[in-house]
Amino acid sequence: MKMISDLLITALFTVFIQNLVLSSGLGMSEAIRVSTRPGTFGRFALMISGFSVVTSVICSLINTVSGFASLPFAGKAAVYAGVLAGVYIIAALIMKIVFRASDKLLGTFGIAALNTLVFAVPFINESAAYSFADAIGSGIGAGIAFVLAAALISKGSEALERNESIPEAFRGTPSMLIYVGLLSLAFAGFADSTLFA
Amino acid sequence: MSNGAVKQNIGNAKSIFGDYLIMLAAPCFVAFRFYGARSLLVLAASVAAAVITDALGGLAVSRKADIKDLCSVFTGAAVALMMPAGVPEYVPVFASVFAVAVAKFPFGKSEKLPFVPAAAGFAFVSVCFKEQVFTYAYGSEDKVFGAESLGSMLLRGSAVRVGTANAFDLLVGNVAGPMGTGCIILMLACAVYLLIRRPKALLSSAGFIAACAVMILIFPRVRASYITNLICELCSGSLMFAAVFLITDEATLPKKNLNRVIYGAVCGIFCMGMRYMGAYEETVCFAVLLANAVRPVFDSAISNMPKTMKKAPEKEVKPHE
Amino acid sequence: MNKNPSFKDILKKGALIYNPVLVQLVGLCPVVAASTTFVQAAALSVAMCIELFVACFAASAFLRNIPRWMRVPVYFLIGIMFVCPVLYYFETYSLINISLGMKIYIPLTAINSVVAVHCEQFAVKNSVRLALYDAAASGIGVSVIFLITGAVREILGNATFAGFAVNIPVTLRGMTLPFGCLILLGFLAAGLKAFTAKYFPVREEKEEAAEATAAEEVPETNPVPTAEEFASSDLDEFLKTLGIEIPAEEDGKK
Repeated sequence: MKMISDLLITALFTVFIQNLVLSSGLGMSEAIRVSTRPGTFGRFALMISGFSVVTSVICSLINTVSGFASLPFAGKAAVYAGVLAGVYIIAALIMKIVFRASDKLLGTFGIAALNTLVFAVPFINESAAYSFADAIGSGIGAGIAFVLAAALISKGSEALERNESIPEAFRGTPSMLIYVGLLSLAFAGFADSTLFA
Repeated sequence: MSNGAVKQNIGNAKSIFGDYLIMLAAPCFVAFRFYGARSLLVLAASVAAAVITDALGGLAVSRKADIKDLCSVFTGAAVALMMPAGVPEYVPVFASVFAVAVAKFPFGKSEKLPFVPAAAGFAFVSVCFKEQVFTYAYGSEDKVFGAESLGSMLLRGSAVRVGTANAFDLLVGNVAGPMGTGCIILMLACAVYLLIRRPKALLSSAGFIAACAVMILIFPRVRASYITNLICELCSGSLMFAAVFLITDEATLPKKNLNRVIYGAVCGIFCMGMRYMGAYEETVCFAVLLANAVRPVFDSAISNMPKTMKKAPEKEVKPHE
Repeated sequence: MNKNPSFKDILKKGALIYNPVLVQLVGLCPVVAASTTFVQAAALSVAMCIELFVACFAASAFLRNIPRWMRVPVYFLIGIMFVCPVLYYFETYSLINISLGMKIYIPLTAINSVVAVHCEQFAVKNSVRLALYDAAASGIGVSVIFLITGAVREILGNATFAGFAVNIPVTLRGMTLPFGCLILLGFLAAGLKAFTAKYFPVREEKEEAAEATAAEEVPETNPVPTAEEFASSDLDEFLKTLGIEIPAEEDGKK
């Protein structure tokens, strides 16, 4: 029971209190890109959560290996990177062999797996000394946080596109960046510090 | 389809902000009554900063300074009234400049803004000048709890002091707090004026207060009766001010009545959620910003719901045709 | 479009007209989250440039025949191989006192979308020389943004520049948070847009015409795509292979 409550609390923390995308900037480029395709939000949430959970669980297990804690940070980063790349390649191979996905399509699969958000989750788990349940929660929360951010940006960008009174210099990416900035300011009401401060 | 649509003529932006400025006379009077000339100085600095920024922005982009819609005047005044009277003058100036330069000017006309500029300005200075924005020592010697605001007591869960509060003192704003937003009775008078001018706008305020009341019932912050908790929460900070002045902003309000109530309720949930878990004593401006961003999501979701329901049988009919 | 563009052409496009951060909206994560001081921004610029050069060179020289889905993790791993020693140097031998945030964001540059976009859309389709030109141009484009945001955020947020005190009356703490950087980037993007509209208007029109022709003849030499173009991925086809059908109206904007 405690494990489930820890998992849920960490997931909620990751989505709202310290939204990994809007409060911390992780995976922000990908969120903005994905926001142009609202139909893919659910799948991206599933894929990012899936990759985040698997990677963070494996990295949490590695963290418990004796001697790993004494490694320099660069060494830990290399191990986490290897784990993420390994998870992606195995998942991609399964998709390729079992489901006969084309090479081009698997490249897209990589957007969901190989981004700063998914790669940051093991670092968050380590720096916050998360338990096993917390690690799963933060992985699930990462996917939900990503889609929440993408959905908010998507609807905002639609409104900006319809707004013809925006000054010429601010049309397009400038107004979009300021919009996302104000959205990030709104989330600062939950947490006014950066993630790794 | 248009059954729930708002049919009233809202008039142009100038008349909307003109109404708001008339309503702001009440909180300005409260600020002057409690804090004297100092409050007018803060107010003047803030309004001047907002108007000058708006004019300069207009000159930079379209080579003409257009401030006739009064949005920047309202923004400057609203931002100042949510601050303590003793705040250094540069704080409301920064708030107004940010509100106009970042939340208004890059998004074009005031009736198409995605966020409420005053909320953005106050949120910005809350982050940048937390100490100055939430210190209420100036002119609070004679107040009920001295320099301690209701917000800080609720944040600490200080049941003893809140429990001893006289409801009338709280309702007239005789406690330390923002200089123009404490008097709930005058806020209600402003709401009555708005009810006459734009009655449908108050649907969002109703949703907001109702959601706050429910949240307070479920998660009271101090060990006291529900009524005490409710009065203290509603009287603290700028909650009622936001309910009347910020949430009713026409540019960010949904078009349909039901959506307005939901928008207000969402804002109330965010506001109370941030009060429980957030980083600041006063969170209503952050909540308004977040509700502004969430509004298009549920607005389109609710608007598309009947379409989906209508389309469903059509899909079933097609194969038989 | 010119099939053999000079470095100057690529620099103008890659660093200015199609600036990776301000126009393509790629690489926002390290800029927004970690460029809070000038020194940190400079360190991240170094890491990003190394990563771009190595990955673009590898993509152009060795990875053309490897399937795309395998190339992306290879860029990542190659980047990590070069970035981790840099991090180790910063951590162990450097006089720079780097924070935990910096330690985390330096390896995160290896998985940055700037690298993936430039390798996939340009380097892998062009010669090594052009790939290195593009890496240099985009590296300069990203680095300039890093340094500007790092300097402005440090001065306004901490009243220091590269660790030295700067005499300003008030500091704005919000500038050290991600929202401050995003708003700053918004204004920089507006400035860049106004600048390119003023100084490259004719050239843009020519480019559009040239690109329209090049798209038919030599697709390999297309410029780096915009954020929207990159977003229009082929996920739907992939999902179809999994047996998941997407309704037409669900996908895309309504």
